[in-house]
Amino acid sequence: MSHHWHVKSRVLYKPFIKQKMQHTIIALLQDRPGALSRVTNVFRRRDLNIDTIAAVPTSDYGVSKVVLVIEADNVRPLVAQLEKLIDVFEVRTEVGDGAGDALLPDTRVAALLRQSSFQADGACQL
Amino acid sequence: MPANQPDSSKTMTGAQILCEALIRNNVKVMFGIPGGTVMPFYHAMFEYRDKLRHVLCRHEQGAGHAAEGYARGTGNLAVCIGTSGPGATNLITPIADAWMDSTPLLAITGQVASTLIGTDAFQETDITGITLPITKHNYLIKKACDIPHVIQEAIYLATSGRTGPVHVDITKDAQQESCVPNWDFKLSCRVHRAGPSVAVEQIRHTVELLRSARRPLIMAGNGVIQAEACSELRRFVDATGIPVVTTLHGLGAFPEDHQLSLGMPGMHGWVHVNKAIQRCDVLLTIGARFDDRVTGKVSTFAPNAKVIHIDIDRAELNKLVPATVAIHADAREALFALNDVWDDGTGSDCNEQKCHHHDWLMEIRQLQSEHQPRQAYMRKAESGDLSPADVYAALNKAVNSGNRCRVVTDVGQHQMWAAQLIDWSVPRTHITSGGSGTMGFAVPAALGVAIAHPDETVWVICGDGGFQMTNQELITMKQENVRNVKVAIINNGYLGMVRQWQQLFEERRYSNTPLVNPDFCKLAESYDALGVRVDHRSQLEEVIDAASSHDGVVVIDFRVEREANVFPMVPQGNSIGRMLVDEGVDPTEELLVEPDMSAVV
Repeated sequence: MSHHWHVKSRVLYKPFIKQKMQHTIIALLQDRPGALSRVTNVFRRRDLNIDTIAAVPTSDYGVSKVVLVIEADNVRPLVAQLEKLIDVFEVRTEVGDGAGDALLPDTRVAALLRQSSFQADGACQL
Repeated sequence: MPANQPDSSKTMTGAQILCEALIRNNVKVMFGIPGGTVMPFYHAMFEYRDKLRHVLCRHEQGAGHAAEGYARGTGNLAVCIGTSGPGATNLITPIADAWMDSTPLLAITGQVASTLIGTDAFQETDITGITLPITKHNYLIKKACDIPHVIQEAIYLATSGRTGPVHVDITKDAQQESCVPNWDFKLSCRVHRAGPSVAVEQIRHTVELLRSARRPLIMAGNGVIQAEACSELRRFVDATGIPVVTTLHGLGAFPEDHQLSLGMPGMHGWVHVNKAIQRCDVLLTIGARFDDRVTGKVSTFAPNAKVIHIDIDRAELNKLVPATVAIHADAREALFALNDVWDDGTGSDCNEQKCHHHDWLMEIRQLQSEHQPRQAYMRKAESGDLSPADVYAALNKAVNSGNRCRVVTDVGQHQMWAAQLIDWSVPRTHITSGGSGTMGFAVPAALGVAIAHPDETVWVICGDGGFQMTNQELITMKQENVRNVKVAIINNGYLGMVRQWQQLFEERRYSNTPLVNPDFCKLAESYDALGVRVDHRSQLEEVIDAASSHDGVVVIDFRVEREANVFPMVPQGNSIGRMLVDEGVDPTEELLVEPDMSAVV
């Protein structure tokens, strides 16, 4: 079960690493080739591992939504870089705080992806 | 986009549409090299040659740097072109350079036919994948009908907000296919983002902080020049009496002969400038991004200061140095607002405020008079040898002689000496590769500057190492009849800056830094330039005067003292308050200027 896998991997492989804060990043972006690559590249450049990623089209034509879960000290500069990308409309973050608490990442992502709070008039709001 | 569409009823090839789109966006000069996948573009270019000048360079890197020089010398967008594969990858260095220095650059590359993309076709490279992290945005065009709006979007992006490079990759079939171009479109909202507006509250807060400050300081960077805010800065400084330091790219943003100009900070900044930063209580930074070469160990930077940071790029705010007031704004608009608010609040207390800063300024000038004469190259014993300082004294005279001059420097010791020893006073007269530190930048960039400013003298100051990286562009000057470039090679037979580090930090192990050089005079002659060698101080003025008045490209080989160093120097990773001010002696207490932490106000 993925639930255990997450907990186990953290315990087995990262026992000595200082526990960083877990963050969920939700971005609305242009639904076209290369957009997702631009987004993930911002993480790669900062040597951040993406623990979970999922992307779906939204009810707005040409807009897709991507949800990422990462562990990092501070996501503010990263979000600022994401917001600069031309293909990104909007970025929102949520703080998730480690294992065993609240929803686990994969479940959270599924829940976030299910949310359909987009305005019909095309205004990009999360 | 203007609604006049004289040709819109006509079917055009993608290549013709591309030329038309560039002309409609006021592009006048392009730098590039043709090749298989851009041949349709070059074929069409021939029809438009009266309106669209193409400069044929000898290497795409040269084309890219020439375009950068053109952009940096004018403030306008510049265009460089390469074919697919190696042509495109050769453009990577200038694109990265433009990215680091926020230079508005449009790089156009050819791409294999859309049917061949992803098949490892001949001269196919995933160039949009490569330029992705070093451009503001990039595009792959596969249809001719997309060209008009993509080119306009690309140019809008390159020249708006924080300017920078944008890359457009166009497949060969898109250039070849015909369609009726549609020039009637609007920029999509995702591209056309409104610029930041200045928040009045923040401006008021800034003015309050500056008014209550006892040791205020302004740091002006590239953003002041890019936003054409130099006269607003001058007005603000004159009104407030606050001293100004200018970063490497800010040189020229504020005249160095002004009594409130201090000079350049950072790794090779003057002692009094760095100490002023460490002692100031309010630091107003405008259009500068706290590069590590400016801040040294960033946690120790300006320890006593409340920082006010004005930048057009929101991602720069609070990135490295936490700001008490972080203002996301265009430098010019912010300075307008600052001037307005300052003027509103000033009455007769203005002079009092200035007097207040007078003590602070005197403190800094005192430091300057103590430390600047200790510079190694300011107190060299008399000898016949040519020291770099001698060359710069003569060059400074030539550059500031009243004739309009621009100076393009490369990267290394000569670059730092130029920044330190030439008096900069006019924006866009000091052009160098800063953030990226690209050796080989100067000669091709000077080509671009010279084409943009044919009536001015363009001095190249470069090292013997950097010169040999891109000197092939001298023949491009010949082909384009560029005659106003004068190259000063500060020739010490070493990769000098690396050698300096080896001397200071690696026990003089000169691993792979000595250079065996060609005869630069003969090399110059073969490029139809005048080559002159200078070995002795007494020849300096005569040669530089002759070079200035010579109608044609000149290459001067200045054979300088081989192991002269750039000082002061902050060893990498140190606080900018800890500076080596001389060589040859152990860095004892005497040589290390400690940060004055007691200076908390």
